[in-house]
Amino acid sequence: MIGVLLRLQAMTLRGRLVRSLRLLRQPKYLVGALAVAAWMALWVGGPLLRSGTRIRTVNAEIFADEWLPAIHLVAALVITVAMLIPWLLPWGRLGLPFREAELTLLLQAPLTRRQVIWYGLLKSAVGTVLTAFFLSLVLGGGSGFLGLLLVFVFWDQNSKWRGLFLLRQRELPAATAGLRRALMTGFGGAFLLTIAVLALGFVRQLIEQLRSVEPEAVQSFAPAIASSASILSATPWPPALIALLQPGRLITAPIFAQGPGALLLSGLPVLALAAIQLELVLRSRARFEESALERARKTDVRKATRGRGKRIGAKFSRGWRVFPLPSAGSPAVAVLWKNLMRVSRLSLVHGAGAVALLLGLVALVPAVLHLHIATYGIPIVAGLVTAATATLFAGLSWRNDLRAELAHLELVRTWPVAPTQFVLAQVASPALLSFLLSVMGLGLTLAGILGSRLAEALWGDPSPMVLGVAGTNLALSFAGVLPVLAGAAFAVSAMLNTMAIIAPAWLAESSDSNKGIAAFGQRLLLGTFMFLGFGLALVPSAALVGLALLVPHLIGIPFSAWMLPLLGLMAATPLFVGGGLLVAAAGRMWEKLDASVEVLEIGR
Amino acid sequence: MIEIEALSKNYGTFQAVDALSLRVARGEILGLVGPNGAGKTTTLRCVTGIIPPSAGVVRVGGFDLGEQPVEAKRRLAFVPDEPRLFDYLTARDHLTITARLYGVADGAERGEALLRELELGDRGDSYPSELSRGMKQKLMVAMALLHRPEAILLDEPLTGLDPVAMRRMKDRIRRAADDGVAVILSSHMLHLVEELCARIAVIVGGRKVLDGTLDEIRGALPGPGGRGDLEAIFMKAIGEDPTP
Repeated sequence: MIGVLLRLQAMTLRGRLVRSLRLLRQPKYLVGALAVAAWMALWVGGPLLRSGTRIRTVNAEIFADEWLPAIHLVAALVITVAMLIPWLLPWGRLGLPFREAELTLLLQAPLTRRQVIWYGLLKSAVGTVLTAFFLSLVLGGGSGFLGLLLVFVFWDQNSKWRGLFLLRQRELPAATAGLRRALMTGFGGAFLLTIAVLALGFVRQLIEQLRSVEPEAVQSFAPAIASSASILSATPWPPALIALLQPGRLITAPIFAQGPGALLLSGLPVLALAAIQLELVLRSRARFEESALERARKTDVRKATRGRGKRIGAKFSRGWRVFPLPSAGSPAVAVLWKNLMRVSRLSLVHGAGAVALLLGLVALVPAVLHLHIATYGIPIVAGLVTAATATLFAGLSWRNDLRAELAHLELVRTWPVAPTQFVLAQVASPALLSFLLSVMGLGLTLAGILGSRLAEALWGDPSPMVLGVAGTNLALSFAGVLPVLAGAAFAVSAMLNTMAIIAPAWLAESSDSNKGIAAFGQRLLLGTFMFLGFGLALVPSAALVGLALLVPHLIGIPFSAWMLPLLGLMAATPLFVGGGLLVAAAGRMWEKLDASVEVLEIGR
Repeated sequence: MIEIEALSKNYGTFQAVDALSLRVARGEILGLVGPNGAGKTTTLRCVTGIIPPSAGVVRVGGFDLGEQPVEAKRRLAFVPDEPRLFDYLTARDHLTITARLYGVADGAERGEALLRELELGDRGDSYPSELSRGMKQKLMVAMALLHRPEAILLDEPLTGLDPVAMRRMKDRIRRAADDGVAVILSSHMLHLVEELCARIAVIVGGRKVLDGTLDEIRGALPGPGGRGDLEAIFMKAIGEDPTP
């Protein structure tokens, strides 16, 4: 029967592969796939293959054999903590990870419960093998594959066991479940706490040793690694800690085995433990069927809404609207409204009020509490980073544009909205949110600057944050930056949505669009396109601003901060024009889009 | 109200719809039947502007869907076979956005009335994930009826409905036709088509093989028609033995 289950797994994989390959019949997808292949060959394949040699060299020349026991202990510490902590937490993934379609098939098939659990375990087998393979390639040219595989299999089984344990906890009478939890937390917690205390003493000792290293000796990477490993090996581990880490050492031993004989010797105990653990999993009495079905449904909903499940479940926000939507007015606004609701139902006005309040607190609280003036550096820097990155990257994560809309094609294509207006609304949705986030970032920076000035006024602390910028100049700078941020957000979103129409099957949101190497390749292409496109879009802006600065300079007009808003507008204009042209082109493409196969099947 | 002239749709070398012509008058219910893969859904998708036809013309209320898509779509409503709603919008939100898209002046009141009529009155604040398939189907119908369309296309509208809801849905479709709406109803439920539709078009392999009232299409087929009901006619039209 396991053969049948394996075959089912293989057929699922084959189906996915065939579906991907069929898309390659279309030239645009073929070109994309070739681009990904070229990238893999150039940037990933080469270094990966070379890394095998290099790391083996590193092993031979830098990592001496006598350091391996210490590194083994570190690995044992890591795996002990990583495997134990989830068991101490009363929440987490329940039962086994099944899809609804799998459960429907498996539960009505003439299979025993044990066989269904087997299938649940086998589901992650491919991922485990691939992870072990790639990691072994990176770490040692593939030589440690079997050892890593054994450890990962054990770990994966352990996580499934824990899922079933958590589920069983819910099914047991409260008193029994409470006792089990108390025992688990008591013994496990005490074990972990002892390890933590002992490890802390060891780490303190290690840090002391590391401090004694001459700075000249660690100026480059290899000597620094060698020096650290040497100190790690020389520092004596507390015997009690070594004793507590024995199970972890046993489990990780195959990774450090040198040669087939050692691998066999170290692998056998792990295999035996894995077999015992497997039997415990297979014999679990947890009623995973209902919970798995329920979870599969919830997962589908969550995937469809991209992690907005909690918000969807929030009963109190059901009556919220981003803004009132009367029946009269442009239909494109309805599209914008809907897309904004996908991200949050919070009213824009209330959101602005809450942000203003928060920024006020950021400015006031450190000053009133007389915190160190450097505290204001955090909001200033965080605000600038947010403002700069939100316009470029936030649109990718909002996912409230055409990429999500393509899954609802049968509905949205029947709407009486002019194609250009429809695309404009799609472009505006993430652009608006990105811009608002950027404005919030600037607000944070402003709050930091104003707060530092307040602290200076209150306590006489000299503020290094102000950069000598007068209030007027600050306002003018922000007035100059705002149009550029708006233009950039619009241009980036226009590029993203145009791409969604050109290659819908790659960019559409669907339950399985966020997985796999193909998705990585698609994001890679998208990122490259966005980077190059945005770079190109900035050229006219830079030229215009350069010209605007040069002309006054040539005719002898000195630079003034009052020029900043004008410069900002000049820089933003080409971005808006470029974005607008893209919207117009995308509108025409949207009108002609034949979504017969590649889109209408999304999410089905 | 709905005019389809020589509509064709090709997927590569495969011809899903082949020179199909149909006319549906105001107040008329046309039943579209055919075996799986006959091209019914593709036809409906072309008529609603979801996918562009390879050839042919579609007019809704005199507006060419290719030339004046917004005007044509304003008069049209489509209820697909699978209700694909927005997971992040409540039932009421769906009606709010529909009211704005079609500029329905009394959108809020009409939306509430439709929710009540379709037994969704207490589910206005529910998300699609909290609705059964039948409820989702009803919500799609409410959205379709909200803007008082002049033409409605329904693809398997009774799927997922309980018997009472089926009866109400049939009454609603009849009432829409009585109000002058042109209806195209695609379904495999031949008894439903027979019960509701004044005219029936049978499509096989993307081609219209029969078109007319039940009597007309019965007469158009040579030889005895078995029991003579739509099922027998359908079986004969697709080349199967009509006897049960």
